[in-house]
This record gives sequence, C-alpha cells and structure tokens, in this order.
Amino acid sequence: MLLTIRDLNLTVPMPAGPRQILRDVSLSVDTGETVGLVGESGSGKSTTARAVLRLVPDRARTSGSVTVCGVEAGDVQEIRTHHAAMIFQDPRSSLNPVRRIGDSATERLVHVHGVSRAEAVRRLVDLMAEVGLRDPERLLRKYPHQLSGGMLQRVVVAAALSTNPELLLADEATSALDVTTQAEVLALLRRLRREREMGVLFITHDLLLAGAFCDRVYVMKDGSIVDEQPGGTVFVNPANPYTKALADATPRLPERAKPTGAAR
Amino acid sequence: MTDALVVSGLTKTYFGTRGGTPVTAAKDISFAVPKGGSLGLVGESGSGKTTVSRMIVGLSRPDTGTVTIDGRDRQWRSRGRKARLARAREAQMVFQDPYGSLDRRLTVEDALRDVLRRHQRGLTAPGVTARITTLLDRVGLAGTLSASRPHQLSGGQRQRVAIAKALAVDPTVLVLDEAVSALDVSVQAQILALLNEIRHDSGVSLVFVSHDLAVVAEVTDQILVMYEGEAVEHRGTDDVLCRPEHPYTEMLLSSAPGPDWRPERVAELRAVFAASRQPSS
Amino acid sequence: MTAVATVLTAVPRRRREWVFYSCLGILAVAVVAAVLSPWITPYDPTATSFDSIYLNPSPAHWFGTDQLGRDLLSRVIDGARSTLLGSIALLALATALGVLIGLTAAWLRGWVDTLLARITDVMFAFPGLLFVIMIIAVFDSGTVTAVVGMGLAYAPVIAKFTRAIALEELARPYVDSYRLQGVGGLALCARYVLPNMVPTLLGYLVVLFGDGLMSLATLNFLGFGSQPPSSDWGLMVEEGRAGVIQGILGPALVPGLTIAIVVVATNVVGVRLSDSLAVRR
Repeated sequence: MLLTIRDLNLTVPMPAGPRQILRDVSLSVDTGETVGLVGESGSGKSTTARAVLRLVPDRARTSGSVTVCGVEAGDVQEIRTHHAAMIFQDPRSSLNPVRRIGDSATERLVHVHGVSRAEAVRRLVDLMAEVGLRDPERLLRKYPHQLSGGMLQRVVVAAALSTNPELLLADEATSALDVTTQAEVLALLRRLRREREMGVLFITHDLLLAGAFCDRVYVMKDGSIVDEQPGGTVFVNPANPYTKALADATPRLPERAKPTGAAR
Repeated sequence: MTDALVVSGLTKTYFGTRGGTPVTAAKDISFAVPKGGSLGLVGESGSGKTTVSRMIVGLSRPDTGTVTIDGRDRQWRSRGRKARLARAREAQMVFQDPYGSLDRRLTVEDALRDVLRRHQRGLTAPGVTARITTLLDRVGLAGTLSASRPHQLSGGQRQRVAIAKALAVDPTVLVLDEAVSALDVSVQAQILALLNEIRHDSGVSLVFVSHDLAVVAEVTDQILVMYEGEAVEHRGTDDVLCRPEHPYTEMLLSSAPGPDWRPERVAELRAVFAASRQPSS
Repeated sequence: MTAVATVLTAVPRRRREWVFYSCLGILAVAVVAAVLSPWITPYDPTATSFDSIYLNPSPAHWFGTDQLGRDLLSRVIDGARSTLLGSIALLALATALGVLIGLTAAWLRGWVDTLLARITDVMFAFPGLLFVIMIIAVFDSGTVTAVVGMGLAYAPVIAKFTRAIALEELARPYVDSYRLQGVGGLALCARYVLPNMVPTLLGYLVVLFGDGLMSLATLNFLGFGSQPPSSDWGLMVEEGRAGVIQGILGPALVPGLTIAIVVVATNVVGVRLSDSLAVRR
C-alpha cells in the first residue's frame, strides 16, 4: 500500500481555544490508483494532504499514523525526497518569480539528490517534452511570468516527476486553470500515472471532477471522512446524503447525443 | 417591444506599454437580451468576456460600438450627477470577489441605506427601513444580519448583500461577472436559484459571465461563446449545449467532467480548432 | 468614527504585551504633562536663580537644575507642550498636504500622477533638514517657520505612502461598485475610500510623529526653530551643552533622554498598531 493514513487527528491552538481540524481521518492509496479527496472549503482536505508531507502548522498537535511506502511520516526527509511529491493550485506560487524556470525546477534534483546540474537539466527536458511542452530548452531560460498558467503547471508537474516519486499529491492542482487546460493537464496526469505506476491523491472541491478522474473518491466534511465511493458512483444516485447533496448541487451539462468523434 | 439590452459592434483594443503588440480584447460583439431574459457570456481567460461586461455597465469605454438599454443609448459623454444616477439605474453589476466588492466599514444595513438614499430619494426614513427589510428578505438574508460587517459574513451571504445592493437601484440590466465562481458548490446552487427567482419576479435582464458552461446552463436562455475577443457561437442555451456548431464550444463541453469524460478528446479537438482558424486556402 | 474604532480594536489585549502598554503609558504621561503643564510644574520654568545653578537631582529638584538655576523637571514638563504641539502641527500639515497629493495622484493617474510624482521626487532629492534650513534662511528662525518648513518637508513622504495604499485600495471591486452606483470621483475618494485607508495610515503616521518630533528637536537644537526662553526639548539639549564640558551632564541628558524615550515609545506603539491593522486586511 502506497499511502496509509490511520485515525489522523489534527488540532491547532487558537486564541479562542484549540480547534480540531482533522478528526479520525483514515484513507489509503495503492500503487496504480487515483484516489480523490473531495470537500468544500474548510473540510480539511488540503490539511490532510499536507499532513502526508508533514506540512502542518507549527503548533499543530497530531495523533494517528501516516505511512508512505512503508516509511512512517516522522521520517519526513525520506518521504519528501524519495517517495512523494506534491503539486499545488497556483503554479505562480510554486515557482520563484525571480529565478529562471530551469533553476527552480532542477533545484530539488541538484541540491537534495546530488545529481549534477547537466544531468538534472537533461532529465527535466525529457520530462517537459513528455508533458507536452514544445522547445523545453528555450523554456528553461524563461521566467515564470512569461508563461501561461497551463504551461507553468506542466513545468511544475515535470519538476515533481523528476524525482521519480511513487506517490503524487495534487492539491487543487488544476483548479486555477482554464477548463480546457485542466482537461489537458489531467489527461496528461492520467497517462503519466499509468506509465510510471504511481499512486495519485487528487484533492479537489469538484465532486464531479473527482468522480470522473479518480478510481475511488473520499468525501470530507468538517474534518472527517463521511463517504467512500468508487468514482463512477457520484454520477449515479449516491447513497450517502451529504455526497448526494453535493452531487445535486453541482451544476451539470444536459445529456446529449455522443459526438460521433469524427473531426469536423 | 424593445429589448432591454442591445449591444452592437462593441470593440476594444488595449495597447501595451512600450509598443507591445496591441491586444483586441473584444471584437465586434453584438447581442440583444429581452426584458426578463438572460444571456450567458462564456469563455476562458483572455476571451474578453469581462471586458464586454465592463463595457455594458460603463466601467470601461468601448472604442466603437453602442450599448442601448431600454431604447436609450448609454451616452457615456454626458457628465453630471443626474446623468450618472440615470446610468446607474440602467445597469448594475455583481462582482466575483464577495469580500472585495463590499465596503468593509459598512454594515449590511448601512450599505443598503447608502444606496437607497442616493437612488430612492422620495422615501422617508421609515420607508427606507421598510425597503431594506424587503430587500434582505428578497435575497434570503436574515434580518439579524443587518448589523453585520462583511468580515462577519460567509461568501454566500456577502454575495447576497451585493445582489441586494444592486437590486436596491432597481436596474434594467444586472450583469454578474463570475459572481458564483468563488463560492462553495452548495452555496452556488442557492444563489443561482435566487437569480432565477429574481429574474422571473422583477423582469430584470441578466448577463451572466462565466467560464463554467454547466453553471451558465442553469440561469440563461441564450449563450454567447467568446474566444480571444471574438464571438464564436451565439444561440439559445439548449442549442449551444446539445447541438454545438463550433469546435471551440465542443472543446468546452468535452472538458466538463461527466460520466463519459474523456479529457484526451480535448487535445484532439484543440487541433481541429486550431486548424479551423487557419486562413482558408 | 468607525475608522478610529477599527484602530482601537487593534490594540492588543494580552497581558504579555507589557512593552506596548508601558510605551502607551509613557505617551499618555507626556500628553498629560503637555496639557496640564501650567498647573503641575513644581517651579516656574522660567524662574532663574543663581544660587541654584547646576544642582544635582535631589528631593527638592527631581531632575536637578540647569545653568540658570531653573528646575529641569519643570522645564521638561513645560517643554512637553511646545515640543508635542509643534510635532502634531507639523504632522497635521504634512498629512493634509501629503494625503491630498497622494490620493489625487492615485485617483487621476495619467499626467497628473506623473507630474505630482516628479515634484515629490524633486523634494526627495533634498535632505529634509537642508530644505527646511533653506526656508528658514528666507523667513527667519522661529517656531512657526520650523514647524511649517518641516511639515512641507514631510509631505512628500506621506504623499508617496498614501499613493501606494490608495492604488491598492482603488483596485478593490467595491470602488467600482460605488462608481456604478453613480458616486462621483470626489465624493468617492473623500467619503468612501479615504476612511478605509485611515487604519493603515494611522499606524504609519504614529511612527512618523516620532520621526517628526526628532527632526523638530534637531532644528531647535541647531537654533533654527524655537528661541530661548522656550523650554522646547531640543533647545534644552543645546543649552545643556555648555555644562557637559564641565562634567555636568544633567541639563543635556534630561531633555535628551526625554526625547529618546518619547520617540521610541511612539515607534513601538505605531509599529504595533500597524502590525495589528495589517493582519486584518
């Protein structure tokens, strides 16, 4: 099992008293699985994902266990370096705006993994081609503000994959992108996951997107997991009342005749 | 019967600083919305939909083209308080950022009173209070919230206040610029239902700007799809969503998650779309 | 008034904030001294006594006496009035001018903004003190000249800061919301936008007050401002210089320390207020 979270509790001290952000959260992701974690704002989905990499607030108190590829979450460096990688919502916050993309994206390989700069660049260029970026060598010399959101997120994906993680955590990774770009980036992620046999934990507020993209979906509300379903079920009457309420509230396009697929 | 809103040939070009290439944000956009009707302005980033919406309400001036509301040209040239107030009554806007679009110093009641004092001068003090209560009721806000300031309200509540402020002016046209995009999905659904109610009750015409076709499907009767400043498809909502004619619309529809979602298709469609934009040989 | 209320709510409440509260206390003492000075000075601050020159601190004279036998405590209390009043007047003038220029530049943009920016840049090119000394050269030394000159010197600093936060504030959608309501530029800036800027400005101005006090004291020390027999603190330091060579530090140290303590106190209070207010944005 790639990722196992068992009875995770997280409490943060606040001026008004301690606030429990996560309540007995348990979930798992296996190799080759895409697992969705869905919730509205404040549900704790992002906190859960960050807890895997120990990216929790300084004064947070946690209990429960998080295991990644057999490694306990306490050994953060081991996990972050070799087993898991995370991509976030806004690529412009993930990349240093005053450094060239090539420098930022190879940083991890060079400084943490001890790979030579030339080798790191070579690997990155290969990956950038894989994620559909044309002319990667030229892009490496550019600054983040010179690229569109979609291209930047692809660079972030390439950089995340450069360390060959077994587990990929995507925290609203496509929410800030145009809807067509989102589809393209997700198609890409799907392909890469298959080719590299990774596991993906996909965090999103969009229930239908999770249902369409993921094999299994966990639904979170107010810090707890309230439902677990195979992906397709969210489109067919879900049994759980909260999930059903979410599904009903999400606007859906009307059903229509399937396009013939022939190019016009 | 005159349409409530008629937009004709709206064009706006932005010139970059230091002689960068000029960007045509909107090119020759035309459409009409009848009284009580609702038009969806759909596009991704850079499509120009926000530019068009700002031109309709007057926050931005078009280079060419006209905006006619209730048969009257918007007359951007006339200044003076009376003209400004008259234009306010023609079109109002609800913005995307629920917190940023409210004056954070004012309570809900203060904000509404401010609008009413400006636009409904005939009302006496008790009349104003009564109208405030009616407005809050109309948008589904509990009276107990009237003393709250924006930071004490949820996103959905803030948007309701914004809608109440807009309605207080009693506008002919209400433009909503990604007004539900920042809200949780369950709250989003409530606001959309509210907008439909308002439309049917008061006959206000809506222009609903959004990147999300599924959201637009719920509140509009016609859709205009924009791409890089141009209108690529403009027909009834049902037609656009079920029988799209333009490859870009197909792309948008295929991108939306559903049970038979195939995101790989989007890249294929993009190639078709790019090919269709080549000058015909 | 809600602006001031907002500022007051930023005052920290935890008991660990003793540093903040002590500084606030110091400022309160200074203000009380300034207000009540004619009634609380133990001796007449102008009363000279050649029997009592350069006395050490004692129960009769808590701070000792100066070179003319005047009680230092009384002089410090008396000086609080002119020093603090002068600094406040300086700040008031600088703020009135600076906020006006900054807000106008931010609202109008275009050539007005550029023109005002260039003018303030020119003023920045002169070190403030030098600029004031130039004014004094023309208009003669004196308290009023010093205060007015210093006020003018500080105006560009405030203008630049105001412009920066005004630009940020004007970018918020609620400003567009008011424009759509038909509110004209002047009313918009003065009645709606400026009050929203007050909390941020206030924190900054409190710190600037300390800075201004220091500058004014320096001017007085140099002899360009208040003239004897004023008990302005800066002037007192200058008068105490003669004693230092003789090994008598009191007359220079007492006013000097007073200035330092008050300035540090205003800095602490101002910075803490700014921090609390910044968090709320």
